[in-house]
Amino acid sequence: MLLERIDITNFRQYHGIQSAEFATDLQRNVTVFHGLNGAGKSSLFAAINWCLYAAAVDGIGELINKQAIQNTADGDSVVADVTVYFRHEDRRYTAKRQLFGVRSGNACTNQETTFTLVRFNANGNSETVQNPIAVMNSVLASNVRPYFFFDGERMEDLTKAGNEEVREAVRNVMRLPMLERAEEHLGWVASEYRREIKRQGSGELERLVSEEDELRAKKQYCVRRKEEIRTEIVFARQRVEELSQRLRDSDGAKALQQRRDEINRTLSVWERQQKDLTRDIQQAVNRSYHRYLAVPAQSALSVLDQKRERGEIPSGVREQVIRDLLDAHICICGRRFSEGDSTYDHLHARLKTTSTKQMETETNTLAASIRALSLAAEGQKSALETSCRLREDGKAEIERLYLQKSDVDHELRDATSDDIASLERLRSDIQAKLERNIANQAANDRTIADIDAKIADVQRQKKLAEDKEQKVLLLGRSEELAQKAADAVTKLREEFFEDTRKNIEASTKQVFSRLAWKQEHFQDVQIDENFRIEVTDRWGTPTRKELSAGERQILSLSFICAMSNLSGEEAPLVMDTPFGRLSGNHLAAVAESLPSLTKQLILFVTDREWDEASRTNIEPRAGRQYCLNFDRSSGCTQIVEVDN
Amino acid sequence: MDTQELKESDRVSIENVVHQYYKELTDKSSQDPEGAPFLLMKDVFMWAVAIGIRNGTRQPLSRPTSQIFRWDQFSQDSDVPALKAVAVAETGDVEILLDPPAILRIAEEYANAGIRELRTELSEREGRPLWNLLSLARS
Repeated sequence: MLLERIDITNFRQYHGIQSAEFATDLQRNVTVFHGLNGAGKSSLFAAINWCLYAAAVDGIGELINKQAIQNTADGDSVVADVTVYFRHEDRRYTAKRQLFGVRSGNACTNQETTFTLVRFNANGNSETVQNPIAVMNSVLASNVRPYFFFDGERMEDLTKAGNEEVREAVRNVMRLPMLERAEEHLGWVASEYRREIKRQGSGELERLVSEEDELRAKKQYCVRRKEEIRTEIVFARQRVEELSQRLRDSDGAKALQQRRDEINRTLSVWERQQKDLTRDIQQAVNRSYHRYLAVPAQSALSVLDQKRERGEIPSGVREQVIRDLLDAHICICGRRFSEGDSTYDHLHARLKTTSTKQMETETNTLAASIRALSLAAEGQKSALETSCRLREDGKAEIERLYLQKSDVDHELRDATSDDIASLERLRSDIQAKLERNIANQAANDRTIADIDAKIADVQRQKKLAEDKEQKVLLLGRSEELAQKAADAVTKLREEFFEDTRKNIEASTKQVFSRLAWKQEHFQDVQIDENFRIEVTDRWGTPTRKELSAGERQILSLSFICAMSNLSGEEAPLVMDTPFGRLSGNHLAAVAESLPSLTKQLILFVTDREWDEASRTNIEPRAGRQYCLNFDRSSGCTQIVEVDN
Repeated sequence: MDTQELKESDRVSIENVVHQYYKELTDKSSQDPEGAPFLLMKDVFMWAVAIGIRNGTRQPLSRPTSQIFRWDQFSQDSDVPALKAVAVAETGDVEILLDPPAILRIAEEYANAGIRELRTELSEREGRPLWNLLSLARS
């Protein structure tokens, strides 16, 4: 979608008909609207959102221009409308939203909105689109809009800990709900087939199908529950962090909260070390079966030794002597023999029972290996015991740290200041809930794994039963196919989501390093599994909490640009007050980079934002510039184009 | 013994009914080592052999069976000599070293006898499977 023009009539402070063309040239792709606070930037931004999506107008008051209401006789109707002209996939569209009202005193009543969308063909013919909302959604989905048409003041929210918006943004921009619908539909088709099998099948198959249905229903419940718990965890983490921050900011609690932060940091180091030790123990214990094989190993050694004592090992000489005697047909005592007589048969039989060279190698190697194994087992045992001891020490240290943390918790809870005590009580309640939810999540995951195992088992049994019933075989195959497709879509969705997260993480990092002027100070940007955006500094320390407001805005902007780049959507970036918290180097870097990060950029900036630095960097890329002139006497705004 | 010598018999077989135990004891072991203590199915197999030997029980496999991994997954330094030692001790005859399928069959029968008990000791006793396995290794 590329915006071409807007006509605005009697909307908010825009009286009469006013228009603006948007820059669409690839080299000069920026359109700038600048004006003082209150001049009408946000109203114009709202007009675009309202026209296309009926959005962004909650809580902004009357939409119909007050002057237009005053100019209308009481009881007569008055109209506000906004028309946006845009291009999408080589076709032109005109979207028009109108608000009709009837003047009643100084206000408007009986307000009614209409929306029309007209599509123009290549030959210039037009048609009114019958399902305009659906078509608008296919051009740019309404749930994705806030990430392309966004309010700079709200941008910083994206970087808050565990922000659900980040996850939702990724889900929507990457059109994951479509995959989720496919998954749901295929699951439904499979369940329909199962119902049919039940109707036509034998008792055994019917029982198995019912069992599978029940298991899948249980799994569906657990998956839903998993999502609920996840949301609760994200919310609780955010609340705990907010409350901890308030304690950090409070003079009476600052020292204790910092102490607790320090303990938490140390705890996470120890807990990570415990995980590593657990893996070491796992590896060592996997090889520790040798102690049970000590007896057979000793017996084998005895057998090998006896063989050697009997002279059967090494055997190469014996074997060669017998072969020479057989070839020469002369016994070791000098007597001649011929093939088939008793001496020949006797020697031949001995050759068969005599070990070969291969046997000699095998036996020698095995004896050496058994002896080496028993030595290695001692070494492994000692390494295992060392890991176990370190883990026990770690466990004790972790317990000690938890006790220290508990002391800090008590001190804060018993603080003389009621504010601190109640903040801490609230924090500790939410923390307890968070921990319960983490445990619930693990239990729920185990239940899902159990159900999956049971489903696999039932499917195996079902396959056997189906084989017996040719009649329902075809249905069984169709059901299996549909279920496999549903499962494949689930897997695909999960993998795609994970890949997307990693790609957005990489792209955010890349954009952030272009926009942040202290780029050498920041080493990495990460978006974890819970969609928390984190920045690490040159020492590898998480540093998001220490970012300035401007840096947080840059981080959000990087995230939004990353999503816009990766989404594959052809959509403009429309930003209201994007540079509000930026100054100096940040402003210059953003102004320089932003035009090249999107196909079309539309900016609503205050005069303060439109300073020397932003002008110098953006003007060469600006195809259109407008000044929003607010007339104090009429209370209305004029859109005036200014030369570049 | 190399894979060439083993030819068709180079895959390790287990009874179908115990396949799920092998899966359960290895599934997602990198994420939850305490819950799924074994890194590979061959590690479960070696421990099942060890438990079978501890109990002095061999149990021929009942059909249906599945082949779960290849012989070359065994460690040449530790697993293979251990299995050969078991075979020599069992038969009292070094000739078995030249008969790889026979070595494997003996191991499979010990594992078949030990796997159920191994699973019971790890998963049905109090405590998480990895620590139960550690107790077994120390006992």
